[in-house]
Amino acid sequence: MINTLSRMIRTGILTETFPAPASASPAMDRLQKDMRNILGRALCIRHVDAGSCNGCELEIHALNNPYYNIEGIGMKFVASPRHADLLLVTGPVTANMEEALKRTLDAMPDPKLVVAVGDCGACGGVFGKSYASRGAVANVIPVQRTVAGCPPSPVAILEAIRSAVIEA
Amino acid sequence: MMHEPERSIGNLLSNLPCKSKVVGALDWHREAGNVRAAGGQLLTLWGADDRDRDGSFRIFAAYLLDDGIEVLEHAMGNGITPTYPSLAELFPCALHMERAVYDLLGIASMEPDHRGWLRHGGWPRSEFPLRRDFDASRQFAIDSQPYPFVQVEGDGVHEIAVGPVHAGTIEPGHFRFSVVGEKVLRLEERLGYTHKGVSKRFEQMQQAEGHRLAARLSGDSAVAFSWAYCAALEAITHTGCPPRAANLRALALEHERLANHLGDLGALGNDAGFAFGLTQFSRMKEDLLRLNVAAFGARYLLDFVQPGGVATELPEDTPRLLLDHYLVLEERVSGLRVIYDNHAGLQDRFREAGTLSRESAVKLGAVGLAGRASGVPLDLRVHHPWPPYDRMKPKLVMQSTGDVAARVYQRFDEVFESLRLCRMILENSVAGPIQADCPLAEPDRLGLGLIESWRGPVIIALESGPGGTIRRCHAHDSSWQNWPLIEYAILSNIVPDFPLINKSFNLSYSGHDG
Amino acid sequence: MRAISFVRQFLEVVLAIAIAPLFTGWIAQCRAWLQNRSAPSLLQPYRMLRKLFFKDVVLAQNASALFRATPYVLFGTMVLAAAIIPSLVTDLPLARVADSIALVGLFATARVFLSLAAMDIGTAFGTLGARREMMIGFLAEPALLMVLFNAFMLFGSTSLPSLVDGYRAHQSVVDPSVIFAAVAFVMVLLAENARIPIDNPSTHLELTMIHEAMLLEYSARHLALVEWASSLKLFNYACIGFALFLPWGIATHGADGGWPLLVAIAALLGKLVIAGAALALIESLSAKLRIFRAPEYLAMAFLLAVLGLLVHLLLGA
Repeated sequence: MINTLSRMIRTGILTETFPAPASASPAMDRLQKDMRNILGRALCIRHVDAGSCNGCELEIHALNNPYYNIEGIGMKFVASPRHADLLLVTGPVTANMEEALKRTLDAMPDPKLVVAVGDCGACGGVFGKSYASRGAVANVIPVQRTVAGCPPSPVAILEAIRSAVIEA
Repeated sequence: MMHEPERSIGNLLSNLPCKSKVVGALDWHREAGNVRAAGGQLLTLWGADDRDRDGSFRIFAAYLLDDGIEVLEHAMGNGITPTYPSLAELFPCALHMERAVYDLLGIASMEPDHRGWLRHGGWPRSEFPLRRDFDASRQFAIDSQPYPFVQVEGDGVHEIAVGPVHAGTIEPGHFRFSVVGEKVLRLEERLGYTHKGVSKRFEQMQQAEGHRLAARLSGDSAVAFSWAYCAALEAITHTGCPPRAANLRALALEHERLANHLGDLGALGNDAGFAFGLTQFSRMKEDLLRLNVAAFGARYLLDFVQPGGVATELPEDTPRLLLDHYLVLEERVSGLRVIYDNHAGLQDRFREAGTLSRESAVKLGAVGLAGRASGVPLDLRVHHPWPPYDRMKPKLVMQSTGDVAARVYQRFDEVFESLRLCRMILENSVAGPIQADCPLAEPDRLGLGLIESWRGPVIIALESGPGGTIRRCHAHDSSWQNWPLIEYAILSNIVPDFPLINKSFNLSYSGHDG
Repeated sequence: MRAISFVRQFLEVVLAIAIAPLFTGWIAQCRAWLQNRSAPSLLQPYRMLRKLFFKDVVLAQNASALFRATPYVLFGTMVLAAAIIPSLVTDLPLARVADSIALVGLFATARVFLSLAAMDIGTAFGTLGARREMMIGFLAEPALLMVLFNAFMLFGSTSLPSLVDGYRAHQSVVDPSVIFAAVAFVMVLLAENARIPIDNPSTHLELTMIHEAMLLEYSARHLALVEWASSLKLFNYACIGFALFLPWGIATHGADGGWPLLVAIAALLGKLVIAGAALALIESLSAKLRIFRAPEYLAMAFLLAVLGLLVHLLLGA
């Protein structure tokens, strides 16, 4: 126990600060401001893997490490879609996951947002559209934001989530 | 349709010693029995539609023996449903592979289990995507039928269905538990949710780009898969990979192994409620990924290994940077090993949970990390090394108890061994080119690439087509052998221990589904 | 009964409702620091509650009236419990009609409603969570009662406010039996409030969930109320602990005027800060017990409380 405690103390706080995002336009709607003030400060994210190769999952896991520390900015991942505000989808949406993805979105209460992660989520990536793959998340459910990259870096994913909320 | 007469064993092109033989139906089963009796293992099973060539379907099986790989090839006539003898009673891991072959090609083994494995209703029963006359761009309306799971009956038996969408950030798969209270009577897995039609997609690609698709089969084993593909292509084009490029490939593979092990060790601590472990290990993994950017140019090396060599050279001062970091990493991981070892609560969760005995592991054909943790001595880098591993002499790391604790210590020990190998690569580095010219392959050549990824052996079977195209490419991840192991490891455990047991195996869903 | 008593009573309830999420936020901050990450703001739980009240409710089709009523019942019982626990003052009119046994009964009511509602929808996880919660509660309740009996033996009353008053008169505060009872109480607190080592409040593994599994079907304002009730429950437990073992600062009977009240508030905040940090430390250094160890853990708590009783009886007084 002493070992553990001393290692905790020696490590210190590791979270990095990120450059502030580009400031929102001054003519931002009142509704958008509310959305940002309400959702943006306590965002609950539900992740669904709709057939990704698990590379994007690794970068999403990285969001929980002490460097990026998504909980420190008031966002967290939740277990139930009923608790969630934002649906984070990875993968090109396989035929076998289409129904599960749609059901998850239906189970989320309004207001809700969808962010598609990775080249696969944006446009099918290297898999494209085929008998097994729907080609892009937007082909199945409405998407507010996409993050390109294979896989996209954690900072890029965070940026996309932020901008999805601010410019919702 | 006449079957081809038995040919004597000939050499097959591969990065490992590999032989192949064409057999008839009887010998297909008999040879498999011989392999089993000799203590060999079934590596992979795949089929091909060769009706345009000679009017038949083919089934291939690759076995691992003490002296190398043996591939058996069996041709079936184009009947209503071409059939071949099942290998499932000799090699239990063949069961799912045979079901997958049926879903994609319509060639059936004589095994009675005909439930769709990869086909969940995404395409009709009468269509077979991997046949040459199937248009890959067709999309079908989903026709989902309930999957007939095996029912367990008895007093107080409940069913718990988990997935495909799980509570955490994890790939989709379905687990059907039959429980009494918290005790698990039976677990049945259903996979195939991430089936993206990779085999069919390969056939639309040029040989020179296939490594990009191979890498994206399972992002956490990208280096292993792309290397296996490049090894297969280099074998059939008789391209020699320059020594420096081979070294860099090995360095990338070991980095991939390290990154995955560090992530898993943290996740296992976290799954037992010990968030301290997650913090420390995820921090080390992040440091390693940033080091990857400095050395290789990207956090995850999906496009680093390419046919003929590697994409980029190490920048000037990188070796020193890497060596210094390895020292830091080793010191930290040692310290954490002591903490994990001495933490009573953690050890109480790890020990004797999810035990897979050595006998079961051998019988079920366990390979890779899960196998070694249960005492199955199999590591391609050690027993069938290819350049540069043949010069490095990696040590075999093994445990004997086969429980979650064994798989945790297996990861710890493999981290130390990987660091030793990385140091060896950097300290004995050779100068030279990092890329050789890889020409187009002659058509109708079959090559095999086998690499020991962090999970276990990955295999790419590549058949070249005319004009630099791919005629057939079969990719196999060790998850095919290891997924059924969990159904046995969970027996006599309780339901809340399942996530920990599952995570201790950490198998690939996407690498399996293809 | 004077009007001022009712004002104090009201103030205590309002304060409890207001600062319970703050206590939860403080524990989350400490946990974050012990995990080497920067912590979210102390007000994060309030932001979460505010957001939840703005969301639309999504209910399963077969949700019954019980399911919809449960969040209100939970919140109500926790507020009532806060009203009869002397966190600031001992002059509580409501406490005269409800003693500590009734307090334990209020917690039991909350638990039963939550479990029934979890089973209402009929999903596997709700039933899973309900089953485990009832097992934990079934074992934790006797341990809690035994801890309370321990304190009652010392002061001859089952009412917490008179217990706190009694402390003033009692000379030696550190009775050996009190130590046993305190350890047992902390163990019960961790079990009843879904903390490590019994349950992991931030787990993402659906098969290991106990408390979280029962909340999976709630959304929007229902979820907000249930979360608030959970925070209140932890706050109440902490205040019970302070009343039993660290009662200094609570404004006792006869202490009139604003000054004792301010001291009480300051003392309460100080105690919460220390208790929160200690709780976070215990959680960060421990792993989660296998679920079948939970009965052993709670049996240990029960045993410690009984030992405390025995020690008290043997030493006389």
